[in-house]
Amino acid sequence: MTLMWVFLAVFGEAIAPFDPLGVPEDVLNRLDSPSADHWFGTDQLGRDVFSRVLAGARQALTVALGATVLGTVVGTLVGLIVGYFGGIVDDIISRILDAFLSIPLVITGMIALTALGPNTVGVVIVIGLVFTPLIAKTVRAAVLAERQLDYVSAAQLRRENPLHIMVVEILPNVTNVITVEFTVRLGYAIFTVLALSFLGFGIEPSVPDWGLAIANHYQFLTNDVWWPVLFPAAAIASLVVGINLLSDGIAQAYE
Amino acid sequence: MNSEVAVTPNERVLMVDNLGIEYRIGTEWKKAVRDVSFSIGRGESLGLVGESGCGKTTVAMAIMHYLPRNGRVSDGSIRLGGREVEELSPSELRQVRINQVSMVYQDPAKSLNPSIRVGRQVEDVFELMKVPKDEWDDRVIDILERVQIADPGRVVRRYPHQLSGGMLQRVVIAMAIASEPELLVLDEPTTGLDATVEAEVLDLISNLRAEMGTSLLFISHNLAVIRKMCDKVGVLYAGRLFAEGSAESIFTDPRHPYTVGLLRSLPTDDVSRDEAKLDTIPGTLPPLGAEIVGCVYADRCPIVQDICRKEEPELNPLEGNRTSRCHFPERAPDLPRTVAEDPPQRQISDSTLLKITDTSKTFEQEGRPVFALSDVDLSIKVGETVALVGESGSGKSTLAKVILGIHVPDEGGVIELGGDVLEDSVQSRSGDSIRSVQMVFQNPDSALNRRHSVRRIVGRAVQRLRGLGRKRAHEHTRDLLTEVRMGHQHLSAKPSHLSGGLKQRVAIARAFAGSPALVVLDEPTSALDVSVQAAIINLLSDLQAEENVAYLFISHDLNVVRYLADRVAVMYLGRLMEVGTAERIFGGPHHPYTEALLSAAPDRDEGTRIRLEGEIPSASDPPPGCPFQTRCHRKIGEICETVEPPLAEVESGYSIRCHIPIEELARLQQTTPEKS
Repeated sequence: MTLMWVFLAVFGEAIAPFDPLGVPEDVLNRLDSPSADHWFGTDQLGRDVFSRVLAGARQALTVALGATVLGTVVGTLVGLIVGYFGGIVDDIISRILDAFLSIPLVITGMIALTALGPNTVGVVIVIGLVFTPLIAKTVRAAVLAERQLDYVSAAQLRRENPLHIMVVEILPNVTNVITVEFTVRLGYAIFTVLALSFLGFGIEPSVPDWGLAIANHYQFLTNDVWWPVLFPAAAIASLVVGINLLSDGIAQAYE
Repeated sequence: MNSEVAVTPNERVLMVDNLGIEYRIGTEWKKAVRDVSFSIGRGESLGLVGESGCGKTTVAMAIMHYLPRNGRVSDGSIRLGGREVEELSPSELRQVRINQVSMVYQDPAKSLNPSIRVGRQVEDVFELMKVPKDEWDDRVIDILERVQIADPGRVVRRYPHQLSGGMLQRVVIAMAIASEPELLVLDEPTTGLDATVEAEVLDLISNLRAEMGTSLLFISHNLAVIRKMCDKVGVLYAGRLFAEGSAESIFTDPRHPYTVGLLRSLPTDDVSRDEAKLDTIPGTLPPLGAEIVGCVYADRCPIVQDICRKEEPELNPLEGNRTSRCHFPERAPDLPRTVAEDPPQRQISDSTLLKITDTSKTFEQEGRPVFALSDVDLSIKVGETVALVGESGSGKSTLAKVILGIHVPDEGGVIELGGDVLEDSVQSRSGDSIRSVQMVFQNPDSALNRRHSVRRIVGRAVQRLRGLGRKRAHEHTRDLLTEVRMGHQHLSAKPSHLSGGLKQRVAIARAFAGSPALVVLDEPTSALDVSVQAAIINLLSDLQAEENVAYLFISHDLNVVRYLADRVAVMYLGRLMEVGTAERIFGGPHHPYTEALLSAAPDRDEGTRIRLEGEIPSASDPPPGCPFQTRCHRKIGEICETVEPPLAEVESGYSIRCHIPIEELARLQQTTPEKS
């Protein structure tokens, strides 16, 4: 399922039957129910929902992926440093991380994006930084356990520098933790990205985006116009469930 | 002891017949145990002995019907008190486990729930036995007294982590015997414990057995423990029973090449490394479920014949009511030695390599000082082996880490290497001194990076310690592997693909990467099987002769120490209590603490055992006067409680920390019969 969405993220726009951005000539097609022509119906501007769902995969995945990669890289670095040096370094940085963790995710994002204005890079950076403390804490715990093992002492006994010990000796032994954390966070990142776009933050209005699509159409639900909301929502659910299954699989493979 | 137990051979508490057990690995079922038969009569004790992976624990788990989900009994039968275990319903099984059979596991800390008070956990047993609630308190105290816990009223209110390992094992044994089971299954019950504590737990088990007439199934890799505890012994190898018979016959007159090999690979009292090498068992255990034509031991057997490779031998009955799964049991006693060559010649020079003066180490724990090392003075000569012995918590590993520069000692101490003062911390030491002092850790699984290949592990050490480029380092890595008798085919293997012995060889190769002058060996063989241990000890002894390296050898196994060490230092509570040549330390007269340590070995008679009262005191609150006075059986009076005796050199090369004059100790120790 995840693979399907990754495939669609890359090729979705190419295989979409209609231009996801374009408006068909016949404006009477607005809010058409699903038919042979428009499998998922059309939205309030007469655009093909099916095409926009396919194309929306790219937006959701790239932003979430970018944010998660950023959060994982920074979080891993912080976790390695904190876990390896311990002591006062750990005390100070861990408290800072805790302080970050106490701020609600979506609100932080909204404030930051209001300041930055709607742009994709902003979303990536904001969500990435919000995830950093979570990942850092997980990596720190794993590094603390590794640090007790004698191979670290053995490396110190040949006077390896701390960077070598962290990156060459310890990092390969915590990659399993990082991979699992990465996939779990990816699922959350998709939710966060779409929640922000649903609330109207961070995404330019013309970009095909599932969260935005839901936001623009949920008021029509009362008029039995369910398709422009249901199909993007189903897309979100299937992607997130797929990623969670994937992360479970990875976690199990490491056991 | 054995004579006190009435054995009625007709009453079989446990009968195991042609037992076969399989594990599912991936999609395949692999045989872990085949055709194992034995039985235990009322009051009898049977020992199952064998190296790791031989199926000992699997058999025990099958008896308890506790096999993991991927395990199953594929053949044969297990009958407890005449009833087939496999056919019991869940509720019947529960009753059997409550009333008939109990098990004690290796690690007591893992068998108890860490978040429930000990008393409550013992109560559970009585609850299961449907004892009325108002009797629980008394019964708990009662059963804890039975396992000789001195202050049960205090112990019941403790959580498991507040008690020592020996105390926890007593609690677990108390829970196991509370229902007076017919059969007690003990899986390595003393393996994680100090020798002094082990001796007490074993005494306790023997006493309880004599009192209650319980039958024992005693599982251990430790031959001396099995010999002490059991009437009958079964030797397991690769899931097969190789030999069975009375403990006496198995150990004094073994009739299977494997048993002979095992017994020979143990260091004994009377031989030191300069007199003879240890015999080893070459090769390794076949992998789980391997289909082997003929005898499974053929590849490792020194007297293998053609028939051994074609036909698997039966468990043949021999005279004296015993069996051996061998085609040629009569040849086993005259097994040729597998290690025929003479021990390497070596010279210990008189020049001092390492000199430690007035070194102390104080840790801080919750704001309170912990005195881990106090005023240690010790020297090691070039090419010499100095052993550090003492119970856990005596400061052996701390001393090693201070020498290595992992721990920074307190102000005032001086460590000199070859005449030059060593910097305190490894970070500030010169490349040369780092190269010169290296370490082999206790557990190779922890000491080798599991994500790196052997080539990388050893190669990196060569690069760093010798300052070689990649290509030269690679050549040297190959040489090092040859030196530790490892084939080059292992170069690209990860540690998880190597056996325990090979892993330890990699760790040794790494320590020798920079031609060190001193290698600290922290219990280098305690995680290994007996036959592998012998090979590693031989290797260490060869390397020492070849490289003229000095060893600081930390061990709790006094037989290994006696075999390998030139000098011995006995530690207690961060202090050296006695330092002298191995001959002198083992020959006596001893420090009272050493005397107690020596008498705790399982091959000593119980009659001469010196019981150490209580546990090693906390290093954050050491007793006043002599550190050993709280447990000393030869305490002479007030002076011991108020004045700490100095470590005095009373003979040339022999120092002792005791108020009792050495002549007096000699006289005292002569009156107690002592084997050595």
